[in-house]
Amino acid sequence: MARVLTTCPYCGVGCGFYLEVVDGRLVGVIPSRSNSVSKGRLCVKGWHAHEPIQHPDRLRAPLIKKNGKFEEVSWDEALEFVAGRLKEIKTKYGPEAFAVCTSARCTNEENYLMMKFARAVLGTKNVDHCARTCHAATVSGLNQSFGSGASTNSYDELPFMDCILIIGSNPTEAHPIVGWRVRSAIDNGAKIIVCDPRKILPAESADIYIQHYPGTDIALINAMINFIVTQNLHNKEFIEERTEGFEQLWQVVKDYTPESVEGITGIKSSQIKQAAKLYAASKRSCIMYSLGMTEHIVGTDNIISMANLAMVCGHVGKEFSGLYPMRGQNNVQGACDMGALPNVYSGYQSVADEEVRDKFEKLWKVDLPSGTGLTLTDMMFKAIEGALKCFYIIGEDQLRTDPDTHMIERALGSLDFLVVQEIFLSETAKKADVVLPGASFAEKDGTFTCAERRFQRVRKAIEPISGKTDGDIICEISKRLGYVMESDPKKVCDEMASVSPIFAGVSFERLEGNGLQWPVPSKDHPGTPVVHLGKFRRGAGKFIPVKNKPPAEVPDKEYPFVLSTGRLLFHYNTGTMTTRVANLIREYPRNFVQINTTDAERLDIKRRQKVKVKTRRGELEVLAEITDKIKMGVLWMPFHFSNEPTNVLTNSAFDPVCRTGEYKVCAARIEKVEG
Amino acid sequence: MEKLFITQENLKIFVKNLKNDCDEFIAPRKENVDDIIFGDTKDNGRELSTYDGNSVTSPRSFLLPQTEPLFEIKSAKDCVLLPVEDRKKRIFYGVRPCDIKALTLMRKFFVDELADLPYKEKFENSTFIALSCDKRCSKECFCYEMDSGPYAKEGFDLQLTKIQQGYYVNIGSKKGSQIIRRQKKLFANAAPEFAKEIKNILKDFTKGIEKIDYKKLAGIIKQEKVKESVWDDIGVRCVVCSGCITLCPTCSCFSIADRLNGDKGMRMRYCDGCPYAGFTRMAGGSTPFPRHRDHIRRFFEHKLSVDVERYGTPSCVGCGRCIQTCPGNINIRKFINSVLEAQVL
Amino acid sequence: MKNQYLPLRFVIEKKVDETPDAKTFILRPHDKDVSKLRYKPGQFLILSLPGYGEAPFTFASCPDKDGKLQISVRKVGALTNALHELKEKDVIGVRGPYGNTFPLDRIKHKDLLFIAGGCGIAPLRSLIQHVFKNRKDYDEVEIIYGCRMPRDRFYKQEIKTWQNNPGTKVYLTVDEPDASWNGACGVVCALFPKIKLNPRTTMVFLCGPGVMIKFAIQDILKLGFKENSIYASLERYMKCGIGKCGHCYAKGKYVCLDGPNFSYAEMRELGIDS
Repeated sequence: MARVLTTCPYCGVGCGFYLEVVDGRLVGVIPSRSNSVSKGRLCVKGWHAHEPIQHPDRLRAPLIKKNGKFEEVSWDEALEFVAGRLKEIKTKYGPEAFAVCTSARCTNEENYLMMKFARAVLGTKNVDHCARTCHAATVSGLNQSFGSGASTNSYDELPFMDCILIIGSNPTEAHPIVGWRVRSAIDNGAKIIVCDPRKILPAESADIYIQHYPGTDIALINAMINFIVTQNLHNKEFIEERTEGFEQLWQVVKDYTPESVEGITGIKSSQIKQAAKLYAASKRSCIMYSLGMTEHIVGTDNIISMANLAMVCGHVGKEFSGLYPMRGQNNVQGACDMGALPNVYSGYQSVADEEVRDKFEKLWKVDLPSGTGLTLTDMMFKAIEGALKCFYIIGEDQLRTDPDTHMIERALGSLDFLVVQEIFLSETAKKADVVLPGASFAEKDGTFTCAERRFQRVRKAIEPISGKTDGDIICEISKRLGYVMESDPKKVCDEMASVSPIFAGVSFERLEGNGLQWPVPSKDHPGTPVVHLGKFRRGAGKFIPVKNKPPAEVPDKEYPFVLSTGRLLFHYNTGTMTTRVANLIREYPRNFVQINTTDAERLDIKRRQKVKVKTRRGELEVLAEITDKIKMGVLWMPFHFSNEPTNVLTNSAFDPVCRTGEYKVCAARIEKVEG
Repeated sequence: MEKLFITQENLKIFVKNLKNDCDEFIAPRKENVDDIIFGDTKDNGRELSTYDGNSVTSPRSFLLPQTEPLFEIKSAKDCVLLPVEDRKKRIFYGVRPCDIKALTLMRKFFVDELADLPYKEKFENSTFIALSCDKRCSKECFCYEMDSGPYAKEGFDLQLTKIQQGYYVNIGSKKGSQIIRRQKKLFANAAPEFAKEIKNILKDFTKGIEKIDYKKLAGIIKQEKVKESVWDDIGVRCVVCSGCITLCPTCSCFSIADRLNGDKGMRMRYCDGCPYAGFTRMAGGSTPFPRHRDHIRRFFEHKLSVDVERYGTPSCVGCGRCIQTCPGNINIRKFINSVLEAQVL
Repeated sequence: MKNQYLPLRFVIEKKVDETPDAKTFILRPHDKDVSKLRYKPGQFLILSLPGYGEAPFTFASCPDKDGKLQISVRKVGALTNALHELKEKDVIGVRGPYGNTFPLDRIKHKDLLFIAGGCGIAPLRSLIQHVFKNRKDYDEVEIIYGCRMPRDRFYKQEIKTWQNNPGTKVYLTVDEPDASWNGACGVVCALFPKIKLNPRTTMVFLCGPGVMIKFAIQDILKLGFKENSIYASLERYMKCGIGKCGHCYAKGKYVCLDGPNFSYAEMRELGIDS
């Protein structure tokens, strides 16, 4: 019997637990009490993290599609084949015909390798990952305002806040162990403001609950700023000493009186004022947000508006304050950090910076492509146009996670060659020419970085089921293309640290215990729980005025509802893992749509009745869940069920800056299905 | 029964000898920063002979693991199932008295009544060496209040109590005295002043705390006199993590599910229980417990009321594990207090 | 010692269509060993379908000397769907019998009233067959059986023989009639005025959906039937059948051990009404 300490593979909170192994079989999970993130707590997914790993559906051998059907082949055959095809494509179309999609599910080391593989081996600029579909807006927004695109503060400050503004985030369901800290804050007497079209669980214990329409966040926040300034509740000293551009902000925000946004938001001005006053006047106030803010065509602006609000009140750049972007995936923070983005190398070093490129060229001993590559969103469009010929995807199921499934289907169908590295045969993997069986978190060593910028160790509990980790696979293909990369995770981590100033102090040795929060600029630096202390990373915090803009699609006669989507406590993203856990799938076995009681009565829709949800892009039959916890005129669906995929409905309209799709708002209709 | 004494040095020899006589020596180990977790130390000597606090998991995780194979499915088509047997000889060392009481309750349920063979097999091949507590193992612990600590009264084979010079040893069973007999020379008769020392430890431990009147508590719960708002609050807090039912040393509920790879596979049983809506929901979708708060209510009622009637003692042993792991800050101790206090007013 | 969880092997001898989504399975012991599974009306078994797990079903027929048994199964989930796909001669696992029986000693020489809804007729059928097999031991029998639609009625042919049995009355009703139907419409309670039996000497047996049991008991009590003469056969999610897995537990009782048949007096004590 063995017990291996590792980090949870689900959401971005980064809980620590031990995997129990008996005779090579994963039998259970034991939470680590001394882990500083989870302190002996786990959510229901974490408690069952061992269960899907050795599921019979796991891919065990590489698959090559021959005459439209997958055939199991040896590793040698698969790797030779992939390397051969990659070479052909490079010769025929040049390196810019490639696009590489790395994985927020994989380790930092594997993301670094994949980023290196894309740039140094394939020679393409086009590398990105699924942060594009979640928190790219955070990276671009907070970077403009503060100079760093990650969480400003740490989890452990939350229980001691006086006021937590939760907007577009459902910590209880999506990030339960941060949800625990919110619960502790409530128990310690903190005031909670929840802004959400659905009356989520924290709203039950909130002091102020604002049920605004999806896609009207900027109007709401600008109105709060307006009220704060007119009431003289703003922190003049902070604005004077630490920020710039307040006058420009005021020129825009002065028109956003709480009264003027009542119609847009569907919220009474008195409630907006109450919330603004509570947030501004509390001594320790923070904002917690998630994809409810980022997945809009105004995602970046949404984030900037919150940064403005925080700076106006001086609730940032110190302990017990700040912005908490709740990251969705175990290592989406890390994948961004490792430079799996089209515009930066690891440590957010710009690809446009000649000196930086020079440094990487010297280290990797190759010429690197110059300029910014394509984002995931644009890769899809370019594939349809025919400019991209080959996708190499690791651990992501675009056909289920990206908005407008039918468009993604067309994009993948236009490729000459599609390689997918996966642990289960996902819908995207089914479209691939070659499927390479990867390894789960339990089968590899490495690090994940959680939403509080904490590097934590991932440790191997069992041998890779397919015989190889994702890192091994990349290195072997690279070798076959004539470029040798170090695959030992520890050494990869060292290389990464040596070339990324903000992670310079990171090494496996130093991560023993409770990891390190970046920036860690040197080997003796203790890590950084609170960023922007005394001074923002960019110098002065920048007020950038933003205006509200209606979503790409607004309800009309034909599609009279607003459809929004989100996560359930019991499932995780496309459900490849959680739908294979008996107790989890039993709680929510199928997709459904939430509709307000009054709307349901009007349309004569009964509980658990089959209904058809339709948008301009597709339709889906699901069961109706009738609840008074959702705003009238709004529909809500989870996105976890691969056989009833919600994203056939969602809109691929995207934010022009960060290019994240507008999952959270589209126009929809709902009708009964007879029989 | 004779009272014995063993020195720290002899205890080490005793443990070493015990290890030769078992397949697994399950003892507290220190992991990560300061996690105490029971694990097999037969081949590595990582056990702590004494420790502060309590293990994250109880011995239940070995006797009724989170997942365990019940049958090997030789052929699904022909329905040929082969029972998976576990006859490993295990010695549990350093078990806290609260967990010893839990084992006694679990024995009554799984072994003495209509027996559950997989549990019975493992239980009967196990030896339990208790280690009594000289101080509260955590701020959530309330063993004394629940009548399950700091000393075990029954259910152990041997019980060690740390005193200044070494360990005071109680023998609790025939199995216990046989073990001692085999290594008699390591033990001495306990001096009378040791008993006095133990009395003082107990006095310090229990200073200012009172036992909970669990019979009264059981009655209040049975008569449904707990305020509705108390249950409502629990309903808002529980986020169905399943931590309480997984770590509780007396939770016994499970489900059975198959994992098939072609025609062969495993029939597994795994931890299941009250918090899940699906635990009581029937195939057609109807459920006897439609409200979420009633799921945890069922959990509390069973531990604090039904089992008092059934076994004469609550099956909450006050170990505090459910409190320590709850992301909703549900606190069974505070629940008990609030129920009893509300009754006084 | 016996492993309680090890199933015996049974062979599907025959599959009979009952309704569009339900079938009756006639099972015979695989190893000719008829003595291994002896049950009484009202008890249940745990059926084992490797790959899909286990689920409880009540015996739908009265005990048979060859050791054959019947279960009626509606398609409601993965296991029952898979079971429907099996063919005659296929092998499945059965363990049991579990649970209590109907109070057979209390019902001799009494009038009997059966009230069933939908597939709730299955457990009652084991007792009805037992009564008809020993007809002289029992007095008047009345059976009230309601379904959603006429096609949803179980045991259509057999019910005709019940109707022809002397001293027996059968009342059928449907919620949603179709063109073929010229009988009663509405819930089972609507037929209660037809009951001719003496409420003070009659034993009542109910099985059906939770709401039906709840309202039928309310109405039957109004007619003067006695609390301890009313028995309901309860359905609960369960896994083990031997009071260990905890799914069917309520207030210190296990439906699998102490039930599934409870008198209304017992149900009240447990705080359950369906």
